[in-house]
Amino acid sequence: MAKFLYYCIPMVMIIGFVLIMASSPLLKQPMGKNDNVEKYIKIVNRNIIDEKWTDAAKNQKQLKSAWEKVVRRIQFGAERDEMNDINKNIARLKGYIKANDKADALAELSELKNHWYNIRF
Amino acid sequence: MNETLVVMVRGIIGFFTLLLLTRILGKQQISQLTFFDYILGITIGSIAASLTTDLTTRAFPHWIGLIVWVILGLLLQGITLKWRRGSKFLDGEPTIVIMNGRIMDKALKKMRYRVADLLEELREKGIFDLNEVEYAVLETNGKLSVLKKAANQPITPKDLNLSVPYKGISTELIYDGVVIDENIKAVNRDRAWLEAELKKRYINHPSQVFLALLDPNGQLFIDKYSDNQKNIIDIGDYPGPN
Repeated sequence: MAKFLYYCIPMVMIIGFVLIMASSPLLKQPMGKNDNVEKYIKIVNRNIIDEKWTDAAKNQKQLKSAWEKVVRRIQFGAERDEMNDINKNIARLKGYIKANDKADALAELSELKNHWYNIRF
Repeated sequence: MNETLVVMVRGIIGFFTLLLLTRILGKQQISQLTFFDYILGITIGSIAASLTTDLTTRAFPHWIGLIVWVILGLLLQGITLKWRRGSKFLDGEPTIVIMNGRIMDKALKKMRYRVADLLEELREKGIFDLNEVEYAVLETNGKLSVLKKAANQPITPKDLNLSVPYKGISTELIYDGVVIDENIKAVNRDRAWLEAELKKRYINHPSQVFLALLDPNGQLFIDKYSDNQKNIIDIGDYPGPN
């Protein structure tokens, strides 16, 4: 039994560490209510293309709230710079939507999407 | 995003990974480490530190870096164990720097080792006169091994044809006030014997004993918690804490 534990404990630890460090791509997937970042990116994108600024502002808030939920889960494995960049993108997006600036809002959203996909294994 | 929490979690990962990896790397003592082993240790430690505090990159690549360095270290260990020629190539060879009392200056130059360094190493070994040295060998870990001339070797009981009692490893019978029954059994004694021995020394209970050792000659060493020392010598040279 002691010998089993001698090998088992380190193995469990290593597996646990790898899971914590490499689980961001899995943990960024929606798991509960209103934490589907990808869905809100698509909705906001559509709102901006259609120039529905009120809806875009409302959905940008939803996107921010979804991202804040996801970031708590992925923070142990993901790159901090990537997460900070997404925070900046969301903040800037809010300003462009307020200013009804379609080109910059779409550019910002595109960059956000790129950072989002960069959170991977 | 809570950076403190992330650093804590990454710190735990780094700490225990390092603990496991150093256990895997083996029990080489610091004094036995070659120069490369030393650098390997520093690098692995540095990667573990980055894994903990460098939040600008993901933890996983750091962790993989740590594993790769340890695997390469293990690989080299394996090569040096199984392949003698490889071991000589990777770890280097011991070099004779003094032979028959003569300094091998070419060997010193090749090793980029100054005479001043050699003399310093000798002095650290208590040798101030080069005439006392027959051989000196610079080991792969950078330490100097010295063989003194026969006339300068210390006298041993064997030289004087003296018989000395056998000295082996002592067994702990009481540690920090706790009796270790397995050890008592291992030395073919029992608790009653131990208690009788303690009584002889006016000790009523094993919990009063800090350490009790039994040597192979049957001599019992006992250190109590209360030392009853009246004139304790303070070797410190200032009144503050040691």
